[in-house]
Amino acid sequence: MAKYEMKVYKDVLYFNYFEMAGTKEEAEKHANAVKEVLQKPEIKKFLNDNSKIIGVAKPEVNMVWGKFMEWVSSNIEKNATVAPSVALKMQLNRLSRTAGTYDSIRAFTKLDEALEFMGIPEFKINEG
Amino acid sequence: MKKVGRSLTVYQTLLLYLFLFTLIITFIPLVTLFIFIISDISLKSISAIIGLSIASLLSLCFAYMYGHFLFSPFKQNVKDIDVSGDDSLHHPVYKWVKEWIMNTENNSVNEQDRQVMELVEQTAASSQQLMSTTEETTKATGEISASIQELASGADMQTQSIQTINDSSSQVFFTLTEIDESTKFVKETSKTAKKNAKNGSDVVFSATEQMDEIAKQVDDSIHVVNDLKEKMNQVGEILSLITDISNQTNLLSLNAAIEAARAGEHGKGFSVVAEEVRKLAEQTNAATAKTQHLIDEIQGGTKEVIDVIQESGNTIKQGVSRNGEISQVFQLISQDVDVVDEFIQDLSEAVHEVKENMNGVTSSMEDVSSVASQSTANLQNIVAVVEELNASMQEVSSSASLLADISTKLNDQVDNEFYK
Repeated sequence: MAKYEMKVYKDVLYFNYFEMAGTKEEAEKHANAVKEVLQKPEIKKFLNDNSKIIGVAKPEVNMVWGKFMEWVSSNIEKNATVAPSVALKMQLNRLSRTAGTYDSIRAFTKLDEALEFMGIPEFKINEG
Repeated sequence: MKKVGRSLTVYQTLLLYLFLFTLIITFIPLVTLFIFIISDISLKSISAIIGLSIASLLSLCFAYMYGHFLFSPFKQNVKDIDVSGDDSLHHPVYKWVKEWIMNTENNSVNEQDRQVMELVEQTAASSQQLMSTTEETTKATGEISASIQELASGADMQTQSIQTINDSSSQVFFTLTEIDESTKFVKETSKTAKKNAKNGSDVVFSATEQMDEIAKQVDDSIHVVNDLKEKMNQVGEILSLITDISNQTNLLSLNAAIEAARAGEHGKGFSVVAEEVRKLAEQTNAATAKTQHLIDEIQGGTKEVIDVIQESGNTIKQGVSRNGEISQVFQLISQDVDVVDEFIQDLSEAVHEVKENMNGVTSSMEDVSSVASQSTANLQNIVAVVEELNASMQEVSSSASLLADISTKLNDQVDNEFYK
C-alpha cells in the first residue's frame, strides 16, 4: 500500500501522508517526489495533510522533512498543515506567529479549515 | 557354566539399566541446579523456577521413555507371560525372564530362583510405582508449562499495555509542554494587547480633547457670527437713518428750490432750509462714519471667523488622523484577542486530548493490574505444583533407592551363581 497520495487542484498541491517514512532514504524519496510537483510553475500553494500520521518520526527522518519545509516556506506562497493533534497544531502556529509568517504558513486540525485557508473550500478530497 | 554365563549377562544388563535410569532422573536437574548456583542466579527467581521446571520435565520425559522401554514387560504378571515360544518381544529383560521361567518349568524351583523371582516382582512393583509417579510428575510439569505459557502471554500483554501507557504518556507530556509554551506566548500577546489597549485609550482621550477643542472653536465662531449679526443690524439701522436723511434732504432740496424761486421775497426762509440741510449733511457724515466703523468691525469679525474655521479645520484633520491611529490600535487589539481566543479554543481541545490519553493510560493500567493479578495466581499455582513435584521427586528417590537395593541383591545372586 502506498504511503502517500498527491492531488493537484487549481494552484494547490494536496499531499496526504498515510504513514511516516521509516528511514532517512525513504523520507528523502518522498520529499523529492513532493518537491518535484511543487516546482511546477502552476503550483503556488501546498496543503500538507498529516492527520493520519501516528507516533513520532525518527530524528533523521525529521531532519529530512525539516529541510523540506524550509524549502517550502521560501518557495511556496501559502502553506497549510493538517496536524494529527491539537498540540502539534499549537506548536506550528506558535512558531509561525513568532516568525511572522502566520498569514502564509498555518496549521489546523480540521481539513475544512485548511481548505478555507487555501482558498479552495469547494475541493473534495475523495473525488477525482 | 553356559547357563551361568547367560544369566550373568542378563543380570549385568539389568543392573546397567537400573543405574542408567537413576542417573537420567537425577542428572539433568542436578546439572541445571549446579549451573544456577555457579551462575549466582537466585533459585527463587522466575527464571530459576522456569529453568528447573524445564530440566525436571526433560529428565522425567527421558525417564518415562526409558522406563517404558525397560519395564513395560513387567506390566504383565510375570506368570502370565507367554512362554509358548512367541519371540515377538525382544526386550533383553523380557528374554531373561522368559528364559528363567522356562528353566523353572523344566526344573524344580530352587530357593535362589525363588528369591530372584521375588526380586523381579519387587522390581516390577517399584517400576510400576516409579512410572505412575513419573506420569503424575509429567502431568504436573505440563501444568507448570501451561502456567508458564500463560505467564509469558501475560507478560506480552503487560509489555503491550506498558508500551501504550508510554506512548500516551509521551503524548500527554508533549501536549502539556506545548500548552506551557503557548501559555508563555499568549502571556506575551496578552501583555501586548494590554499595552495596545492603553495606547488606544490615550489616543481616544487625545481625540476627545480635540473634539472638545473643535466644539470650543465652533462656539467661538458662533459668538463671532452673532456679533457680526448684531453689527449687521446696526448697519441696517444706520442705513435706514441715512435713507431717512436722504429723503429729508430731498425734501429740503425741494423746499430750497421753492424758496429759491421766491428768493427775493423770503431770503430768511431759505436761510432756515440751508441750516436744516447742513444739519442733515452732518448727520449723514456721522452715520457714514459709524457705518464705516461697523464695516471695519465686520471685516475684522469675518477674518476672526475665517481664522477660527481654519483652526477648526486643522483640528478636524488632526482628529481624522487620530481616528486612523485608533483604528490601527483596535486592529492590533483585535489580532491579539484573536490569538488569545484561538489559544483558549486550542487549550480546550488539548485538555480534551490529554483527558482521552489519560483515559487510555487508566485503561492500560487496569489491564496491567489484571494481568499482574492473573500472573500472581499462576505463580501461586506453579509454586503449588512445584511442591507436588517435590513430593513426587521424593517418591522417585524412594523408588530409586528400592531399585538400588534390588540391584544389590541381584548382584549378590549373580555372585552366588557365578561362584557356585
